This record gives sequence, structure tokens and C-alpha cells, in this order.
Amino acid sequence: MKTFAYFDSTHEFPEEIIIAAQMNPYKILGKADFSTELADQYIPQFICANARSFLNQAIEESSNWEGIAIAHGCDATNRQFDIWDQHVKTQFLYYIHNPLKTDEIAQHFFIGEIKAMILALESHFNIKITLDQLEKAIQVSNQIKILLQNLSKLRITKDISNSEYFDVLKFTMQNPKKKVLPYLKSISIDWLARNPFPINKHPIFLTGSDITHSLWFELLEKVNLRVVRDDLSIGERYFATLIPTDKDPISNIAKYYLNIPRSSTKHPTNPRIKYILKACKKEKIHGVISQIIKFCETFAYDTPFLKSQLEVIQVPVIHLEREYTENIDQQISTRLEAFVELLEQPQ
Amino acid sequence: MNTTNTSTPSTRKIVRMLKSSKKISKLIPWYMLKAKINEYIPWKKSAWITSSLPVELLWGFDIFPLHPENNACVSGARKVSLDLIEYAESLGFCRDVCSYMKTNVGAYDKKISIKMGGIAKPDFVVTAGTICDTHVKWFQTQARRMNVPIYVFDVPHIVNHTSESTKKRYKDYVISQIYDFFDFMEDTIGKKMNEKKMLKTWENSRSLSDLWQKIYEYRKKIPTPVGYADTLGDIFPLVLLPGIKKGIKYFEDLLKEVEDYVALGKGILPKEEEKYRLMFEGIPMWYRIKFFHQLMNYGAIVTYEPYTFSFGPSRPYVDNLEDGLKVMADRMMYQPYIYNLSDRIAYFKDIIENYQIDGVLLHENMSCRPSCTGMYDLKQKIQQDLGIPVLLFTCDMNDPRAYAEEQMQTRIESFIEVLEQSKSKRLNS
Ligand code: SF4
Ligand code: SF4
Repeated sequence: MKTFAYFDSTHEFPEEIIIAAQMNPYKILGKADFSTELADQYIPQFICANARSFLNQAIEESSNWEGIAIAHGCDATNRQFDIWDQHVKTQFLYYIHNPLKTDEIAQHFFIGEIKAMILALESHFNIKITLDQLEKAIQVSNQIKILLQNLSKLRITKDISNSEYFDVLKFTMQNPKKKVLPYLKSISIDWLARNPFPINKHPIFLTGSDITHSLWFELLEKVNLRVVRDDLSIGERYFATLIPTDKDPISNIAKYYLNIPRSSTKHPTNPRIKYILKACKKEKIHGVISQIIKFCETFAYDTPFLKSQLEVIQVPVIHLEREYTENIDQQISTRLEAFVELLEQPQ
Repeated sequence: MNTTNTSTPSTRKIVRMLKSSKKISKLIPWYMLKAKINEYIPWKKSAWITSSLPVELLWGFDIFPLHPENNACVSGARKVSLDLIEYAESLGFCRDVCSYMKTNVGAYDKKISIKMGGIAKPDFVVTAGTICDTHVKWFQTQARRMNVPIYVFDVPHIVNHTSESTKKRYKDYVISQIYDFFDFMEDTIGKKMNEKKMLKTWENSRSLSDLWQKIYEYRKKIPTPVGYADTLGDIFPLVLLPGIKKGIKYFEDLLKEVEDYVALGKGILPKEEEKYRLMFEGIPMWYRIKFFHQLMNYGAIVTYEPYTFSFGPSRPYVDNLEDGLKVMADRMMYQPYIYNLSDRIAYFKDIIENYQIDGVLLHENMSCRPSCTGMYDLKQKIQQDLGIPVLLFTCDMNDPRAYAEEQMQTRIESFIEVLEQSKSKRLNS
């Protein structure tokens, strides 16, 4: 199956179009070696390393991909599109704007954007993307989301490590959906048979910029912090809601992408905060880890407000700024250990 | 290596400016006074607006515009920004977010005087994502903290190869939002748009922009009759007073003086002293305007800035609302500060040729990530295709902690040497 890659900052790219086009939508997440060297020639180092690592991977691996789409999320997407255009070798590079807002005007516009992208794909690849194919793609997508929802729920009751959860999500976003479905089913059987949630672990909510490597999840594991809820794109944002099936498939896709759990790149920002607070109240979360990758401004702006709201409901929170490296900063480890100590103090 | 040109490190004692530019010191207090009075008249409404949006949108509703970016740069120029930034950081806004935003948080909370960059609470805020994420996040944050309504325009980006049909779709989307904004004004603010006033405002704005374009044309002359010390202040009417007659009068006087200068062959620097004509990309370091004066000591003068030019693009005459909104949408979608990379490179090449630019300064502004993206390609293209030297330096427009004095001095000196060599090479060939 042919692979079609995409770069979006927080789950903005309507991958169902690619599924309908009988290609594998592959979310670019950077390579395992944390490399950004090639991209650093074109993008200043004080721009988030996630985006730089995506460009790096694209420069190295674009020949494996039939085409690439960049969907607007934050400044990195629209501003870097032109750099990709100059330095990434590909036959097909496409930009799609996912609106900031969710109102009817935005939805109407997004329907137009999706239609335009379908036309561009049809014309370039000499294919036809029918409504029927789109409907089937939605069905597949929803099946995957339901499986992920069920898996995600097991995090609260079973012993499922942070990186196992992350790896499942990453696999889902980078592999052909035909392969993903049986994979998730087998994981479900495995996870259902797991031991109960370990008593020495603290259930936490994880929020902030997207984490693209399992290393960070392992670090949390090491200090006994277990991520049981999150609102990351390589996480709950991807599967928390299902694609509606009541209208025509294009409208349904548009509606879905505008109504997923919000990220800081969107307007307004309150629904994001509400999602976190609701999860904290529902799941008896011990604490919240708010983290940003250095220079991720959109999430940085929301940090003081998020912290203040968590203080109101008396949920402990720690905010961390992380570098993009395989060598975890000792200071961060120390701060996390101190946070765990705080959680362990009698309330 | 020729070092004779680089031995003038001290700051130029007197920086010549146009006499008319100095009249800005009357216009700004007029605006400030109006802003102050406005605060005390309950039925007078005001709004915060970002530079990505045409301020006429507010004048047409008889809403008094307040411009936090403008106020933030006043704080920078008055050298109080650091204190305000550090205050915002103490609230949890991190070192890496835009220093204008942090300056504004500090200025608002600490209620500093308008003369130092202070700003009043508005009745609502309006912004757009055209230029940067910051504009949206900043206003979201402050609207919440001040408990006032917010309207956000979602403006899609014109990247390389955006087709005409896509641009049309984008424009329709923006226009729909302008109508939606009108509803917001009526429902939330209780204000109806006055079509007649809006048309008049546009016409005045067009006159203002036309004058700005003419003034800019004269910057092509050698020696240049208009320097950066002028344009930095002169943009004020374009930022806040488009549609207001006072700005037009100011620009008319300015243009007249520029024409006189040119007729007499006068320049900001005398002709024999104007050695290098520079283009400056980015927002200036407001707390260190001396940097530009320092350049003049070496005979280097900034004669073009996309930043100041951006505020007064030429615009067509319109006599009806529909056409006016189309022009407005165009302006919201595309202006030099946000050109895509291909257009940005072409634009720079055109300016370098037409303004006889000898060197380009690229301010890699740590506060303004969007504007820095693409600068490496831009630098490479200018150097490679035109053989023009480029100095790319990393700083911040409002945070003096990012300015390394000695390092900057050394870099200026080396750049002047490069300019000298490059210019003689070009003259010889
Ligand atoms: S990490 Fe932040 S800045 Fe980087 S791509 Fe994601 S949202 Fe954008
Ligand atoms: S300096 Fe840049 S990031 Fe900050 S408000 Fe201005 S355009 Fe936006």
C-alpha cells in the first residue's frame, strides 16, 4: 500500500480522505534518533524541535511517500510549508487550512477545503475518491477510535505502562488501517488480561505539546507516574470523539475535526481547560503534568490559566519545559521526583 | 583588509530627522488625550486591535482603537519594557513567548501611564491569526483576564503555490467573517456599522496610504531624504489613524518637506556621507534605537523597511461596501510582513534593485518566530543571486536581555567591512 505522509501540529489533517484514496495516511513524527540537523539549516533553533524533526525526517525519507500534506495548526505549519516546498523532494505537496474556530462559517469553509483537497488528489494521482469510499473510510476510522477508547479506559484499571499506550497510538497513526484493526484487537485481548492498576503508581493527566517519543513516557514511569488520561494528539484527542455519520461524509469529516478535544492552537481555549478539569474530577486523578516542548508558544500562553484553574479544584500540577533530546535533563527528573513526593504527602 | 571605515564606534551626536516628522510629537498626545477622555465617557466604546487587522474596521463603527503592540513598543522605546516583561514572567508566562505580549500584561496590570506605554481596559478585543499565533493567544488571555468579549478572525495563509481558486475561497471566508463581526458588534457591543462613515473612512485611508507610498518612492533617491528615525515614528497614523484627517495633514506636510529636500539634493546624510544603503527586515529593537544611529556613523543608512512599508499598502478607490470589504479582506490576508517565501524573496530582490540597496539586515527576532521562519533561505538567495551582503543577527524587539552590546558592535563593524568590499567589487565590475 502506498504511503501518504502528513504534518499537522495537533490532529488537524483529515486522514479519512487518504484512507478513501486507498493510501496509508502516515503522521510524520520525526525519527527515533531525535535528529534535526538537516532541518536546522533552514529553521532557527528557537523554533520548536518537533517541527524541525518532522522536516528532518521528510528531507531524509520523502522518497518513500507518494505525497505530503501540511495541515494548519500553529505558525510552524503555514510558515514552514514554503521551506518544505524548497527542500523536501516530493511530487505532491499540499496545504490545507483547518479553521481556528468551530462555528458554521468555519465548518462551511472547511468543507470547501476538504473538497478542494479531494480534487487535487484526484487530479494528481488520477484517481476517483467517491462518497462511498469516504463513508467506508469513516467507518474504519470510527472502528479504530472505538477500539482506542476501550483500550484507553483500561489504563485506569489495568497495569499498562505509559510507553505501551504511546506505542499503540503511534502505530495506529503510521500504519495502514487494515493492519491497525487486527493489531488493536490483539492488544485489547492482551491488556484485558493484565494485572490491576499497580498501587505504587500515581494516576495522572498529561497535557501540553505533543510528545513524539516514548522516552518521555518512560521517564514518568520511572518516577511512578502513570498517565491514565491525556489530551494529546498522539493520545485522546485522536480518538475521544467519533466521526458523525448523519450527513454526507464530507460534512461529517469537517464537523468531526472541528469538534475534537481542543488544543491551544484553537479558539476559544476554554474547552481545552474544561476537558482537563472534567477528566480530573471524573477519574480521581492525583495530579496533572503540563509540559511543553521548548518554544511551543501556543501551549505556553495557556499555562498560567491552566494552573490557576487546577488550583481551584485543588489538583496538584507541575509545569515543565522540555528539550528535544534523548538525554533527559537531570533538573526535570528532580522536579518530577519532588512532585511525586508532594503527591505522596497525606492530604 | 580595509579597516578605515570601521573606526567610528561612538553614537552619532545629532541624528537628522525631517522637521515634519517631529510634529508626530503633537499627533501622539492628541491621540493619547482622546484615549484618556474616552475612558471617562461611558457611551464611548474602545477596542484593542492587533496589527494584522485594518483599524478602519473600528473607526467605521465609531469605536476608538487601542493598539497594544503600539503601546508595547512605546514601553520598549522608553526603556521600561524589561520590568514589565519580568513581571509577566513572574505570573508564569515563559521567557520564550512574545515580549510584546508580556510587556502588555505588565503595562496593563501595573497601570503605567499611557506615555510609558500604558493601556486602558477596552470594551472588547478583536484579533486575527494572520500574522502569528501570538495575536490570538495574547488576546484570548487578556480578554479572559479583563473579562471583556473577544472576536477572532480566522485568516487562512497564502503559502507558496496557493492557487487563484483557493485564494478566492479564502477571501470569501474572510468576508463572511467580516459580516459575522458586524453581527458581533450589534449583538455584543450594541453598535451598528455606519456605511457612510465606513466609506468615508476608507477614502481617507486610501489618501493616507497614497501619501505613504509617495514618501516611500522618494526613499529611492540618493541621498535618501527619509531615514529610519523618521519612518519609525511616521507609521503612527497608519497604525492607528487611518481614516482620520489629522494623519493625512501630517503626511502632506511630510511629503512636502521630502519633495523640498529632494529638489535641493539634501538627504538624511549628506550625499558624500551616504555610503551604504540598507534594507532592514523585522521589528526594530525599540530599547536600542541607537543601533541605527550607530550605523549612520559608518555612512550606512536604512532606506527601506518592509515593516514600516507594510502599514500603508496602496489600495484602490471604492464607493460601495461590497467592494470595500473585498479590499479589506485582501489586506487582512496578505501584506509584506507575511509574504510566503517565494514572494518574499521576489519582493526583496525587487526592493534591492529599485532602492539601490547595498546590504540587508535581517533581525532574527526571538519573540517573533513566524517572521524568522524562512530567513535562512532569504539570506542565502540574496547573497547568492544578487551578491548583496546580509547580516542576520539574533535579538528581540522589546526584551533588552537579548541584546549583547559588544557582540553587536563587533558584528556591525565586520558587516561594514564586508559592505565596503562588496560595494567596491560591484563598482569595479
Ligand atoms: S509543538 Fe507546538 S509549536 Fe511545535 S508544531 Fe506542535 S503546536 Fe506547533
Ligand atoms: S512580534 Fe511577532 S509574534 Fe509578537 S505580536 Fe508581533 S507579529 Fe506576533
